Amino acid sequence: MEGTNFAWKLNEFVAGSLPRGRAGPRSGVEEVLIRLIRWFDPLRRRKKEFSVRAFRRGDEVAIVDLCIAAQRRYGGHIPRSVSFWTWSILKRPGISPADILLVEAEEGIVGYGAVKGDGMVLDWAIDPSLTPQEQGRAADLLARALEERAAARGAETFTVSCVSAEDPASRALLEAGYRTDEAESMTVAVLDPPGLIAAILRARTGPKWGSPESRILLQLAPGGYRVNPSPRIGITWSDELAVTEADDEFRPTFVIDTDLSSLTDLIFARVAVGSLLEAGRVSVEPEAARPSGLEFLQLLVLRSPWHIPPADIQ
Amino acid sequence: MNSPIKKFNSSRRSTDAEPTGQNSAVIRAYSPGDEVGICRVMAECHPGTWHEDSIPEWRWKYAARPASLEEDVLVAEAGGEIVACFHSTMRVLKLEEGLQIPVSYNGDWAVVKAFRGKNLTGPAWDLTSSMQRDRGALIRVGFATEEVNEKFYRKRFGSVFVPSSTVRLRRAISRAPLEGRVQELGEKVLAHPGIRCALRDRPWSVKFEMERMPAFSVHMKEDGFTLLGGDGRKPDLRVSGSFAPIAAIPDGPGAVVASVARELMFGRLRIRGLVRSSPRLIGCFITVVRRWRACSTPSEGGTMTDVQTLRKTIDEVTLELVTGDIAAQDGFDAVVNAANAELRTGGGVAGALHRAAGPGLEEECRSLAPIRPGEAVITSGHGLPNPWVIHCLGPVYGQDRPEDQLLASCYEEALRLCEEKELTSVAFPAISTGAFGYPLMGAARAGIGTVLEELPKLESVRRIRFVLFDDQALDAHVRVLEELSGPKG
Repeated sequence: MEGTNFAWKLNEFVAGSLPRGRAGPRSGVEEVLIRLIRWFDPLRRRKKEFSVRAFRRGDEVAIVDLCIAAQRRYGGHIPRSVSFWTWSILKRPGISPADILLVEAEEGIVGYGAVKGDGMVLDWAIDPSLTPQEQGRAADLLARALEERAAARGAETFTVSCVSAEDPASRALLEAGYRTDEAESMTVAVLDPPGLIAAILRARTGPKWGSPESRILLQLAPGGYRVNPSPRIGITWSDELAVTEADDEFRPTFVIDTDLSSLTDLIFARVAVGSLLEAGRVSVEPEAARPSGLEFLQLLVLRSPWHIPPADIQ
Repeated sequence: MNSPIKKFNSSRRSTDAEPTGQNSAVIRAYSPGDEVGICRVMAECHPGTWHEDSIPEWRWKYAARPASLEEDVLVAEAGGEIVACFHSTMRVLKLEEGLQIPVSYNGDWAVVKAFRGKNLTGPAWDLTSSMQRDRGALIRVGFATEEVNEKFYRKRFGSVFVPSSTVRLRRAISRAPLEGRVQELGEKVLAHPGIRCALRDRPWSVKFEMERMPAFSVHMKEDGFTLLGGDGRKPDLRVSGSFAPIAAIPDGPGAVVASVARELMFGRLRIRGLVRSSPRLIGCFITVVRRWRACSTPSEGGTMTDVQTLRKTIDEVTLELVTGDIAAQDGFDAVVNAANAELRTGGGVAGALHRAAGPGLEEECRSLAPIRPGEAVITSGHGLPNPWVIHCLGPVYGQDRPEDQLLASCYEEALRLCEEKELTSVAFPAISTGAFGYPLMGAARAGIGTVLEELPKLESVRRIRFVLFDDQALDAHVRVLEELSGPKG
């Protein structure tokens, strides 16, 4: 609390230097001055203290909350819950509580990692609410502790998967001499296009898209794949969203022609709608409805980058 | 419970899951006790990850998983033995913040070597997809590289590769397991006369930066060598790549040098810094590579990846269908490159051949480019084990028309060039089936059909090999060859 004391003393000094009788409530200028003094107080910017310890019963909820916070911006992973974490990490053969390490700060658990005997970190999270410098320090500390644990179990290498290359933890580890390696990526095939489109559109918040009643017919050309989805999908989107297989009675406002692979590219691989249009992989009829069609397709594109923790795969 | 597996076994197995012939297999759901067979199959197919004693891991992963069903695991059985297993679990996947959906999660698929290409994975895919779609799965996810997805899964399933933002960081934390092997390697390398000769003039050092291993240097003199840590003197040469090739080096005189040379040729090991620092060492390495090539039998070059072969002799010409590496076809006068119009390096076959051949190939190609679809040109083989490379530009499917005639023209032109040069053997890849998107069966018909038509006209060519990327490609070509030439060979 040295920094706070120093600021308090400065506060007293400022207050004491003011004319007598005015040591009570401060004016706006004085308030700004005090805040400036506190802001520049070098002792206030002392390093946050971190310590590392092994997992104890009762840490489960804090670990899961930390993972959820660290992965909030990302998709592509299994959402963390206590039951999933318990099965995936704690009950995993070859993992003991000593292989699960936590970084603690004053405010609680700010870092977590679980390492296998071969040096592969299965799960890893650093509190994103820490400053970038603090995240880097916490990551470095946690990595060193996990490395020691892995080395004690006879591992030859240590591997950790971070959410992205721009992540402060990744940057800190690269500076510490780590080398990048190819990470896991997914392949996705759509089994139920109407169900997927409905799920994505329902998740879109904000003002409803389209005219009072938009009726879109999405026609999927046969691609010769082993999956044979219904070729005509009717999307009615006004107050209520309805995505169904369209029969001949369906009267669309406009028609989008594409194929399953292009639709999957658009949604998951984030291939630009314009590129698909240029390549003839998507078309909208009538011509006048093209802007609406493209706007609709753009809504289907997933917005989060994907992060795949090794625990989800291994 | 109304099990889809029962439905599958009763109504579909005779057509889909049970190939006709001696080695037939039936797909069924897991039942308790299958773990032993499943782990044996997994250990054979994924040896680094699974072992025969991985039963507790398997039980945890597939039997003890929350909400698991026995039907999540399918096995293929033949003669009472499990020969394949297919794991597909239902999970919830977060697509983005606020959007989670049920998905079919696929991994740990394994088919023993003898049953690959026997139509097991397709029906298993159909069955698991149908079961899990019925249970609410909207998508199906799996794990593969982009290359494998584009070559295989996209064509069959419409799958797309979704790059992740995940960055994997790695650091070596121990070098003890490496030291014994490096010691052995150093001694054997020193024992080679070519290397000893090169070291007579001056010592040199090699820095090894192997994946999964701490960097180390070997400082070599004629009379001995010293193993150093990562920070040795500035190396004459840096070697980087996977540790697997070194781990797989067999014992025996000359085996180390031969294996290292082979890995260099296949591009699994890389060398940097050699050109400027010591041309003499290049000469030494080239000598080693050439000596190894000269003394190796054709099969040595091919056995690395040639796992299945079909051979037929028609009109005194032997036709062979194999899976393998087009850049490792020792004993053939020519290999055919599935080239691009500019005859430059790239991905797939062209990339593999150019990497193995070295920059000289691209340089020679420069004056011959561009070529048009259906055309072929010939160059020398440079660093390849073949004296000649024939470069064909196949059609881009759906773009260069008529596709079948252009593809047939590639094979005709290649064989014409072989005859012109009086070559006796040639190895073809499946032209246009990679990035150019030609469907496998159609490409097989065009390729094999054209070769069969040309056979009676051939005077010098006596051996033609199709080197195919995977079992599915092999399966398609075998079917077409048998269809067009009759089952008797």
